Amino acid sequence: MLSRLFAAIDRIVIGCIVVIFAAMVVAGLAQIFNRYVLNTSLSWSEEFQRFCHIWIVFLTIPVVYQRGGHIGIDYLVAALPALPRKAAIALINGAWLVLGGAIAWTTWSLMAVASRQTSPGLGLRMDWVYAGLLIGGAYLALVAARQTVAGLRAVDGACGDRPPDQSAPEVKD
Amino acid sequence: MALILLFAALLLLVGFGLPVLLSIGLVGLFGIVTTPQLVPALFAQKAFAIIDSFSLLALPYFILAGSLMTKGGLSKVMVDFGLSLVGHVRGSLGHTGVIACMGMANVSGSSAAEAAAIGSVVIPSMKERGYKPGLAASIIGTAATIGPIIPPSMTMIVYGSMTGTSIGGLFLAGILPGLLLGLGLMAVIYAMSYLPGFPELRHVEPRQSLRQIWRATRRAWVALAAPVIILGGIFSGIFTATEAGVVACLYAFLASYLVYRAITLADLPRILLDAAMTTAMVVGIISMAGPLGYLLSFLDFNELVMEMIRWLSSDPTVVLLTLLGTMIVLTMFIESLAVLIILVPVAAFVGEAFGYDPLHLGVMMVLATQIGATTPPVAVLLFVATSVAKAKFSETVRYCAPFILTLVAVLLLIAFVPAIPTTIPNLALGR
Repeated sequence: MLSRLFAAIDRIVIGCIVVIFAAMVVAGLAQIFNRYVLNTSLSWSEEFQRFCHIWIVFLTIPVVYQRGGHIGIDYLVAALPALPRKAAIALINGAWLVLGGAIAWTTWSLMAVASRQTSPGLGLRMDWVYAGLLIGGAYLALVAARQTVAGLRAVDGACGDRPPDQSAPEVKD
Repeated sequence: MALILLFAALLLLVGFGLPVLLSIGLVGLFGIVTTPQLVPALFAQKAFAIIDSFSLLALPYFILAGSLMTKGGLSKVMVDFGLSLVGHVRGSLGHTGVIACMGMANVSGSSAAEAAAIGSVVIPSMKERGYKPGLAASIIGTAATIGPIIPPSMTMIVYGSMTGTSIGGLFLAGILPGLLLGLGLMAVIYAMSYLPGFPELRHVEPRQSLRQIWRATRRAWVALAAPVIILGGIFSGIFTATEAGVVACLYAFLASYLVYRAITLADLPRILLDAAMTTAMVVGIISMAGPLGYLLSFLDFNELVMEMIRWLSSDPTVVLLTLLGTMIVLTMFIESLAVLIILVPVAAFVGEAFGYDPLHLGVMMVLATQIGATTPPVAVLLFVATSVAKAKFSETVRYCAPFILTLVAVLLLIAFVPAIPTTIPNLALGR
């Protein structure tokens, strides 16, 4: 039951990332089209792209983490015997939990100030922009909690969905 | 004292195996929370502010353009193109690999992805022709360092936005050094073909007819033309680097969708997510470097480094060589992106204080971090190429020295002849 809820959340987040990225590219194209073809400049497009970018980054950090894609050097952990490795991986997942919580918490403490500011181009209340960090941080903490539990349950010390393979940046053709 | 603690904690966490993003984030967080004069909200605010930049937007756009272009067999097209040009020269497949890496650099801009993409096409044919797996991996691993030098380049975008250097200018400054690196590596491969112990380098492919060359070029030209648009736009001052990135996305989409027919519309969500993930890996680290960087400047890190350098020497050449040497040594052990993001702003600050041109400095710094990243013990590019070649890493290490020394020689040449990187941007931007 819980796992189906988590899977649904994962799908929603990934859907949001794709939609926001597509919107950002469209805004970028609109900006260029307006400036070089219509000779007018859009007041909102640059700001819109910047804010989309921030949302994309913070929503995607947990997705990359879940798939074991963040850059790091893990020879040491990989070389450990099973039990210490399990402990080390639990510690690392716990550290992710702390970071996600901290991003959400420190952003939350900014929200009151941010709600009184508006962005110059879009006239958007800045707490809407900061909400990307809040949601991303909270989602990161959620994923980290799941990975911690999954890591502790796993018999062989594998970490959650995938074995910890972070020795090289994820490479795609 | 606080500075030493910060760096010790950072090294410990990264060394223990925590991802770079996590380590930097935790150290910055801990520093801000434990400093009584600072409020915790600064953490979120600095993590936000450092990535709230229009020039940094070039990064997701060029990453997206790269994933659109490289989806459908572009590496094969580039290898065929290289083979048609230099297949009949001594060291043929080696040269082919270098040229394919240079061609791929036009669209990809990430050296690890390039090593994997080109390597997976060239290395198997190299091994068929009797290349020692370690030698094949050495050639492709070192040739992949050209990726971040020839524009567009993720590394240059990161460097530019961390130091406030013009990204368009850095792109233009990378062209000639990138060509030099390619020629340098090819010259070494050619020279090695005359040494005993490398019979495989003496193997040549049959010379191809003009018609075959034309056919290979015709398939590659759409990808080869991408930089003309990107650089042409920047060169003529029409586009900023970010806008060039947006245009590159459109171009890459049309090329992959209409010309190469490598993608369908249904692939787009997958490609967007891929690009978002690569973006988050890189920009996530930059974001977490925001609080840490704030903390470092709060602790007067820049001034401290400056004092140390002044104490060391006041000769600009000595200072420059020290900076470059430090970058190479650090990136030999630590992930190059982390070094680039945390330490390069300081290095650039020092270099500019000693009168170096920001673009000249930028190309040298990026090349230095790439050389470190391909030098053992921690040599990401060689790791990637080695695993593609299914070689033992110790075999690759045996053959990589002449290629790495070539990269160092080109770096020194650029250091002493600033005109190599700066001529094109000077012409274009009227500096």
